[in-house]
Amino acid sequence: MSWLGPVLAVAGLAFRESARNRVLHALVGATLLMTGASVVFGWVSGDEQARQLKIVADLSLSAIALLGTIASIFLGTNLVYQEVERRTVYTVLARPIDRGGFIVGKYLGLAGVMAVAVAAMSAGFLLVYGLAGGRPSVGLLVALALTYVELAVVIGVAVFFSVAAHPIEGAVFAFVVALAGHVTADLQRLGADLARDASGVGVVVLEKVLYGAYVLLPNLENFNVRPHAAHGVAIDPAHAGLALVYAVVYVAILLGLATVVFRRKVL
Amino acid sequence: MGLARRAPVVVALAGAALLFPLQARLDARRTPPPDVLEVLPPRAILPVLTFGHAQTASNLLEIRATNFLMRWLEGMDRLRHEHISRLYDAILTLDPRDAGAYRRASTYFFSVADRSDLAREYLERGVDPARGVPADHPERWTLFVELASIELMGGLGAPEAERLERVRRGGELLMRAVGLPGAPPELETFAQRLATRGLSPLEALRYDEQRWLEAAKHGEPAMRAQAERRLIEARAALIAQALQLIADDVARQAGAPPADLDALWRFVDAAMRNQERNGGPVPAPLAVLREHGVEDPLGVGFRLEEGRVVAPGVDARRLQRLLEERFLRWRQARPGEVPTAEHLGLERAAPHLEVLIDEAGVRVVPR
Repeated sequence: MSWLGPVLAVAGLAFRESARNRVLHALVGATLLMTGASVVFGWVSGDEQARQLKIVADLSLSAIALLGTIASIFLGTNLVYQEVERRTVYTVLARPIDRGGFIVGKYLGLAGVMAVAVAAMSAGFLLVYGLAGGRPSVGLLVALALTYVELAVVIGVAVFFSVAAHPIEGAVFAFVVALAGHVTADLQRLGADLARDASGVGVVVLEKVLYGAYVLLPNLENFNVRPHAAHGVAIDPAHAGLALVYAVVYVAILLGLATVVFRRKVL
Repeated sequence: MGLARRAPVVVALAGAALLFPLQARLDARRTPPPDVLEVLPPRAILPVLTFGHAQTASNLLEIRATNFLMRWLEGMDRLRHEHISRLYDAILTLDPRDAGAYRRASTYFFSVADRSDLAREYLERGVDPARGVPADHPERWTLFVELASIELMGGLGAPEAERLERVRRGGELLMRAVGLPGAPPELETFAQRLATRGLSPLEALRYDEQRWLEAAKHGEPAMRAQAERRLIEARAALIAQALQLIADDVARQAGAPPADLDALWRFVDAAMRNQERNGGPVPAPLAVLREHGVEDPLGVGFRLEEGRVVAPGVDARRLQRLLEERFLRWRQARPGEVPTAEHLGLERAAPHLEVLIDEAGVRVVPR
């Protein structure tokens, strides 16, 4: 408990600081605009209501995921770096909180802000979806929830790079990791294809290396059930549960690594 | 204190170790997302939704098309040509200037799906400067060459008048490529030769063989394997045609065709020895047999039936490909019904082939 109090205090400060950021407001506004525009796209795509609703769902869910990722990276990569630059980190670390607790607090603060942002964007989407004649399904709610869990992993990546790099470099690295996170399955497929078409020790080693990269890089496709939700395809609850466990484990790894780097940093 | 300091490292390592079983479980439970075609918006709206990145979206879709093709290439009978057709419609709506995409679509429909009508349709859309590849595009000439190839290949085995007409049309199409940006200068000579003289059936089969020989150098193993199979068929057709010409020659001279294939091979051997002894230009059929060897070098099982040289194994494979395509189209139009051979446009199968049609599909077996 004595450890948790200061962590939550840091989280509260990070929450307030991030919530005031105008870039976040702009991105949430842009997402809501996209959601509204999706009705127009649906409308011009034909008379069939199911098709119109699918386009509204596709575009809105994609906008929430994409703009949410940008917001998480933009806010996350500045999070720790700014504190160090402004030297406000000294006053915080002078309190009874270690560097690991500081990182966890910062992460929780931003994750909290993004939870509110995703909730606002989701509410806008569900309102537009309802007005367009759709009835929000459990699948859509699960897709929104897993989109937030995906963003929680991206925030972890951003916080790690906030400690390990300058904001611009960190943002670029985090964005690349976030993009790569949706195509890691291709690495595994590439390895399997190579092993099928050729033989030899080199190929076996390469296949293992590619499989290792596939597992160790964040696999954001684990959270992507948006196409299923938009099409009304059932989402396996066990998959959703496992994806949640995966996110917890991955965030723990990222925060552990961020702490190790931050402890070695000379402030 | 020591333990607390090491905790982040332990968490990171333990987490990394945990990722392997976790990811394996997630992979095991993964359900495939809906097909890409189901998430494609209508053609009219497609370019708008790419927000100025239509070419990128087009490239990504073509990767999808290639992956689909690679995945299903081995299962020819279950190829979903409709799927590829819709993908290429989307690809070319997004990027109508991509000459390569028109070419690849046409190659697919001509070589894999045996749908020369669709292959021609794509190319004609491509050569139309108003809705396809712009007039000054450096690859536009290749589309005319592809169109000419379709004409020439379509003439193989056709009655002489139709074949010559197709050769002439092929030559005209090649002439349209002459002088376009990027077109090689030697194209003009070739085009003129085709348009005015035409190729003999043997020359046309030789052309087909060369085409598959080139395709067999493809970088993609699945495409290469496919081309190698088609190369064997093309060579078998070429050798059969060469043998046929010699059998016709024997029949003209002796008043009757050779009694069987062994007798025909003896004539071939004798003709080769005569030619070596006497010298002079090598007749084209003998040149083919000298190049590819005698005595069924491909192991395709040549036979002589009523004066006609046939290769039952290869003929069965070719007919099966054609009928499978028609069978799939029939089933799409009339789900649950099993067509007859007549429904598939086959009035009478050659005596050396047996056609079996049931619920599962078409099988053509050599007798």
